[in-house]
Amino acid sequence: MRIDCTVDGKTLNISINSNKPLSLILQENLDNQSTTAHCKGRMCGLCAVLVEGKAELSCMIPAFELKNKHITTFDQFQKSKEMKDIVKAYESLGVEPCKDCYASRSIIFESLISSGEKDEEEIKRTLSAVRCSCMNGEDEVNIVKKAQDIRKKRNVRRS
Amino acid sequence: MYEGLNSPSIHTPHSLQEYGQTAIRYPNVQIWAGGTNIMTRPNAYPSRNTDSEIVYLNNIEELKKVARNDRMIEVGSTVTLGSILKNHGTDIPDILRDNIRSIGSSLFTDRATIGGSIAASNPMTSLPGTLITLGATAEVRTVKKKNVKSKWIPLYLMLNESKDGKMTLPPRSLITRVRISLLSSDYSYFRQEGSYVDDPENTVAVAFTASSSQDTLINPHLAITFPTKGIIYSKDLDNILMQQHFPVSEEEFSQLLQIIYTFINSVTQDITSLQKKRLDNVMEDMVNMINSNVLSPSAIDTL
Repeated sequence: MRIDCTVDGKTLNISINSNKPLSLILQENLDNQSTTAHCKGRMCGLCAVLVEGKAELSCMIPAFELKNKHITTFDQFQKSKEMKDIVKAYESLGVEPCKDCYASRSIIFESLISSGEKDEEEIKRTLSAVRCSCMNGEDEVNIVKKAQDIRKKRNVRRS
Repeated sequence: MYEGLNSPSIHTPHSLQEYGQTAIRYPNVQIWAGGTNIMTRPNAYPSRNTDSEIVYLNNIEELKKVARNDRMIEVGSTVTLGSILKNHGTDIPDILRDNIRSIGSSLFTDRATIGGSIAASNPMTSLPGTLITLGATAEVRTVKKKNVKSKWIPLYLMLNESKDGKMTLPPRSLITRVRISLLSSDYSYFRQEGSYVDDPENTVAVAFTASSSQDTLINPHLAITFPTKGIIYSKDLDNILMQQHFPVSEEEFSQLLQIIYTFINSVTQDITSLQKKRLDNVMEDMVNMINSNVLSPSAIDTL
């Protein structure tokens, strides 16, 4: 099956098995280093990407759903201003994810920050997708709120 | 690495009529909406057992509609659990809301659909059990020869067809809508112990609804879900609960529990000791809730 999609700003036209999961496409077909996990459905939560700006687990997305979609992986996202807001929040609070879940958790943080999510239970529930235990729910809530503040101030300064 | 794997053809109908034509033409087509049940299988990809035809339902607008009135909410089968929670969280019964929240991250519930949760042969969530206690019915479209027939089926009948605790649809069928009653009951209880994602082998979920009349229950419905093993629901068990007078003593509670285990053993004998312990605790909590309500001053006044 031929699929047109945009990955990290590059428009691609790839020939791929229609039911291949995005996590494997990134690793095997696009040599993307940001999602090294493919847990075979065990839901480790380490393969999050942004699809149209919203975090999704790439192991759950079959190739045929990628048609005309914009995908951002941590490879691209880590260079963005948005990631700098998150890093500032990590530094300010003195907590950050471990290296195993850093990419995936940061991507999910971004999805929550950009959607303006304020509900603490919803923030914890969303981040429970990452099964790594390096961070607790309170820290996750604080990071999202802090990064939202940082971004708000940055946007005010820019305007 | 993947030599010899076939790449399934994807059919994307835009209406139920188009779906019917596809289903008639391809008898063994695999139905795909959220894909959570398929993609979380350990052997989902690469797999040589993949069906050669996939019908993708997410372009059918009719399956995404939600309608409600004072008595019920009618949800299209490809509406995601996350969307039900986000857009209709205040409309739906408490136990349904609690159940969806207990399933896990919104990264999962934003993909999982209500139709897929019911139709999955292996219970991926405790949702079917909860929907059964709420008296939910589903519209099922079945391909018969060259025609598509539509029928509303109570969910508990899908369970009783199989006798193994698994939801079973007629062959070549699709759930298109689910109706859930919004009529309130005096008791509604949902509790899940364990995690479907982290430890399904030791997880148990209990859903219960009933109205009350003095010290007895009216229309009680109790469903117990053991992930990977099955859903325990029986009208006979509901009848036994209806004959019970509350508050129950410790001895009566033990007898009730024994009866419940008889029903469980008729469906599955694989429950673990941790699941048994968790179920004992949950049932005790549930019965205590009923006992304390019956014993509350307002209830005593009416006795």
